[in-house]
Amino acid sequence: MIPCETLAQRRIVCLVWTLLLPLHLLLLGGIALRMSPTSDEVAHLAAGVRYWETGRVDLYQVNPPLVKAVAALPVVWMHPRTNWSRISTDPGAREEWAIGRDFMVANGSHTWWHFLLARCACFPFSCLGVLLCWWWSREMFGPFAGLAAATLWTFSPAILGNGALITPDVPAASLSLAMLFAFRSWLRSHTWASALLAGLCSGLALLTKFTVLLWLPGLLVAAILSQTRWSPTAWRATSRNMQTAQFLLLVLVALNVVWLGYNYEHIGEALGQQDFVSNTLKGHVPESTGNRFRGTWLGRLPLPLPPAYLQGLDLQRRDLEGRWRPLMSYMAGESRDHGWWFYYLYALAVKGTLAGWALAMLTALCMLRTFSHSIGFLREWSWLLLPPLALLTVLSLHTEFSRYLRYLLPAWGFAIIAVSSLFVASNPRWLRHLAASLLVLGVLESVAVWPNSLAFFNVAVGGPLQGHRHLLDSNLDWGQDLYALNDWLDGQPENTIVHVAYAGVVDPQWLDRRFQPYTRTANETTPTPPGWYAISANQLHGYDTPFGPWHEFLNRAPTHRIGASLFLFEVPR
Amino acid sequence: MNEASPDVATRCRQLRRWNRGDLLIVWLTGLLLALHSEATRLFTRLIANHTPGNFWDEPALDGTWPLVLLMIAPFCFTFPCSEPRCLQLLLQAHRRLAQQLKLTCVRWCLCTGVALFSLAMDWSVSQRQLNNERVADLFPVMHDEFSYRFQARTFLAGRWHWPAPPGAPEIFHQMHVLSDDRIASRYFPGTGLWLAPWEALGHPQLAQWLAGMIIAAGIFWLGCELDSPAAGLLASLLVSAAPAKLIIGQMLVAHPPTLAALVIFLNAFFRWERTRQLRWAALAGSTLAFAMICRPLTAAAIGLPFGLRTLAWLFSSSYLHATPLQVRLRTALALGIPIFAGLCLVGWQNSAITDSVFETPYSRYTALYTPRHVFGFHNGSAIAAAPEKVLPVYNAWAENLTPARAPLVAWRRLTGSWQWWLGAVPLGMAAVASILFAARLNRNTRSLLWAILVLHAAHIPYWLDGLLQHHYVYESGPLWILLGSVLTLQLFRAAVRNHHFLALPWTLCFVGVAIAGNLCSIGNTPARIDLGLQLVTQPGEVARRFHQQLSSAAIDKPALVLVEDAGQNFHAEFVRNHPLYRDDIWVATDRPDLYSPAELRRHFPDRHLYWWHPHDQRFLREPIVTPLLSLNGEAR
Repeated sequence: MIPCETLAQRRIVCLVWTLLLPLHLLLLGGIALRMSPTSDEVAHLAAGVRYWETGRVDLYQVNPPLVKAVAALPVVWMHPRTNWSRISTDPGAREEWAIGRDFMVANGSHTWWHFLLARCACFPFSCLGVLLCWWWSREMFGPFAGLAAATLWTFSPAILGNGALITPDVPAASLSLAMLFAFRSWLRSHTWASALLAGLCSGLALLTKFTVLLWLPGLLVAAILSQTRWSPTAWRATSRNMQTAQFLLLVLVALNVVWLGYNYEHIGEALGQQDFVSNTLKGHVPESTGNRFRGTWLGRLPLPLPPAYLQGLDLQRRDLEGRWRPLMSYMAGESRDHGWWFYYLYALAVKGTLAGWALAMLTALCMLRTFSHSIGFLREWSWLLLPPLALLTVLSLHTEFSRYLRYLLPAWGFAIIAVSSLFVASNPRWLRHLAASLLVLGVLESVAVWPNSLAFFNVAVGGPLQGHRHLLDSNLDWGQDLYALNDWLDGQPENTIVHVAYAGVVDPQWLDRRFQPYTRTANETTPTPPGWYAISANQLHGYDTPFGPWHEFLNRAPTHRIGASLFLFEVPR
Repeated sequence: MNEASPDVATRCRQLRRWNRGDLLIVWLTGLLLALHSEATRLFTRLIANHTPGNFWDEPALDGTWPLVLLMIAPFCFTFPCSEPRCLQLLLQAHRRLAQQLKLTCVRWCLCTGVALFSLAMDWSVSQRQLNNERVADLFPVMHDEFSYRFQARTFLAGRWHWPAPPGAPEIFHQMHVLSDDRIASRYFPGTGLWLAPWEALGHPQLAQWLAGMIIAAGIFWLGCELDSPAAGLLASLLVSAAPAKLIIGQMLVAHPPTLAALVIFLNAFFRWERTRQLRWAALAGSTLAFAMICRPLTAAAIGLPFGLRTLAWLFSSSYLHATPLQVRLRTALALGIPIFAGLCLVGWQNSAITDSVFETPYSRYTALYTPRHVFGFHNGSAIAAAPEKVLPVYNAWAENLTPARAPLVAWRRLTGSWQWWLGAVPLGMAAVASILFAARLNRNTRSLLWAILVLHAAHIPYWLDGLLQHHYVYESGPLWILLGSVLTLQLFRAAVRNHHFLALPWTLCFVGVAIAGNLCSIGNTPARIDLGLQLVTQPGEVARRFHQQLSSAAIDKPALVLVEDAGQNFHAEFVRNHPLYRDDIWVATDRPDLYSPAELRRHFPDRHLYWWHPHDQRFLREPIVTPLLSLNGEAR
């Protein structure tokens, strides 16, 4: 810890640790309580419970096991009932949602409590993000910038909305920060302890989300550049052998942590022994599975990473190749079977806070003004700017489908720290005051939509209620508003029946028998029978079923809005 | 109590430095207690309603608001800020007041003030509406209360017991009243003596309110003794407004006089230790003796740490202190004679009622009617002395206490005492803080802590947690509040020294929220006091309605009304007759196993017989034959 020299610094430390952190927890808690289980969470929780029960990572492999394991810990402690009858050994099988539903059915009404506990178990990941933003920014730009960065993370709607869920996006964001911060510290301090810490953070980050793999080439480049005039003086003072030994320790620790996360399952297996399903790894063969390395010298090499890790990557790759199931993309009212290269820019434009945008633009202007060709300037800024730019570029290049802004979250923290540079003491006073005002505005923007932070859209595009005109799915409608619908129903007469067209995995009838499914085909011409209809935004727009049966409701004004994702229509007699 | 209070700076070892680790443990304790309460609330909602609903609806008194406040507590207790102007003025006023408070008359004014506040609180609760009835009209309601009242009337008549009923004595058995050849309350004589004058005036309730005033005033002086008048004022106000004090203060039970006596005992003991004046020793001995004849185990437990201190002083070598042997002897007599007198009184009562100096009516009643309700482990295997007298269902209600179950019951009692006196979170934190800081507290405060712990430990071998989850350790509640107030004041001083001024408004909010939840309903959650009153009055509700009905019933007199058993042996609760059976209407329990209607008519030829069943609630000339129900609702 940096010694606190002034009263102001002591106050900032206090504010971050004792005000922002508890506030962040309260905000996350409020969201976790209000949101019904979202689609992916159902699969994550079941996979986490299976991890602890069997020690295997054979469910929901497209996500490494750390987050689901942490989430499932308090649930496992309560000895839930499980039903693994649908587990498949097929390499390409994706039964996690069906098994997640089985898990919920097996546990009845206790399942709602399980989800709340599991979400709470994930809060520390997001809190870690607050601290890392503060720490990194304070180190680079001073105490006020640290406070600003911590505040930005604390109140960021994207962080709040996703951090309250059992999903790996926010944990990946926090641990990416931890990984790069620890690696940077190692490059600066060249101690064994920092190498150990960097290895530990890297291993943990790799266990959250495959996106983190994207940072590895960058780190390797940084390590190489550290041998040149780019490196800080302290690093150059260390002998080459010592550097290499520390780097090896770092890599070994990181790999061990990853292997540990997978329980050292099938350690020593060769690459050629695996069955893959993506064209990238199986080759362009007609069979559904294969291995392009089988029979080659590469195939005989033992895997440096757990086989299940590679299988997860393989499944992810197959999804990106569009060979799992048709994944529709939706943007600005248009649905189609492939994505847009500018999807993420558009999503950022509509889902970022206006204050956040203003701060980002000010930061860019400031950077241009103070741009320097000095090595120190470039080195420090590249830690912050390259990860977001790299991730944005990679995601934009994949236009097989464009669905989720949350894919950008692993780089969120870097952007926040970059923006916090506005608060550096060397900036003019008026600029710092302007930035502080924008920060307060951003906090207000976020608090105004809480606890619907997951469905945040800025006021320029009409706020969350108009969000369905721009983006769908986890940006707006992830099945999170069933509790709110249930609350609404509780206030209605006993005999009220609501026909629900709902996009989530949870069956609304598990909450109340008065929720009835209403199946209707697109070609049906008979008028909709009178009654109440709750239609989620995805269904309304025919997200996964273009020109679906609920399209006609788009032209009607909803009687009520439930949360941001559900539209309630009363069809009169 | 006119000596000047000890100088805080010299006599109390202040907590100059609050160890951050200790504070963290205290905070975590509060957080865990609040989280547990909140989690229980949310769990219940999610399981029952499949939705968490509106978070602020029906907040958990020990969870929702305390949890939110505890989350921001670290900020308030660590954020350094400059002294606000209003606080400067407040502190100046406090300093001026503190100087004035050194004047004994000002302290007496404050003492009178808190006593009157206690009286006002008791009176306001009696005027409260519960289910559209005035609370004052609901009491007395419990079978214990009628037994105590019976005892008071017995003493007013100048006797220990009454003669046997006119015939069929088994059917006239009143709960907690020995009904052999002599009729007498089972309880120790102190409460009856305390209630008697007020019973004679027709307002026995006033006895309890007077006890409340003594408690409030005594706690104020204890606070002065242990820390400062501010601590005394805070503690006494909190005690006066505590739900447990206000609810039990409406009941004719032994706790208010016991607590009042113990509070005076503690004050007198501390004074005696400080001044070594004989009058304080005599007062301490007398009040402890009075507490002993009200609730002997409680008095013994609270008195134990102080008794040990006294013994250590009496028997320590002359080299250690200059007190002459003669003085020590006189002090021992001043302390011991009242206690011996109390024991003699109990022995006299024993021999008058049970014919044995060493057998108390209490233990005889337990042995005859409720053998499983005995103190000690494995009470389930207790053998009934007279099986035909045992109240089977009521007796079976007592669960068998095993050493494994005892800690759970003790924990319920502990948390119950926190909940019903202020709130589980603030008093839980106070308890942990006092234990953590015990080594740094002054000797008197440490002894108080020991007294509380001994009281709880003494009740570990009892199977029931008690009324309001804690009434067996009722007397520990105000002592927890006292310790909490002393620590709060010391924490305040530390906070002001360290410029953590936000700690002050935070503490006010924290205590304010606890008091608000205790006295007012918040967001659909009824006030704790209303919940308690409901809990206390519910079991005796049918008996109360019966007596209301009886007073206006059109039945031929003289009559004998036989209350049938609805399955829980509570029909014995309905029996409240004139001790000499001079009423027109006698109430008795129907015991068809002992007396058939024909036999009853033979026993009471001059009385009209009526049967009343709790389910039917009508006066009938013939009994309704219904199967008896066991506790779990099955027909026996």
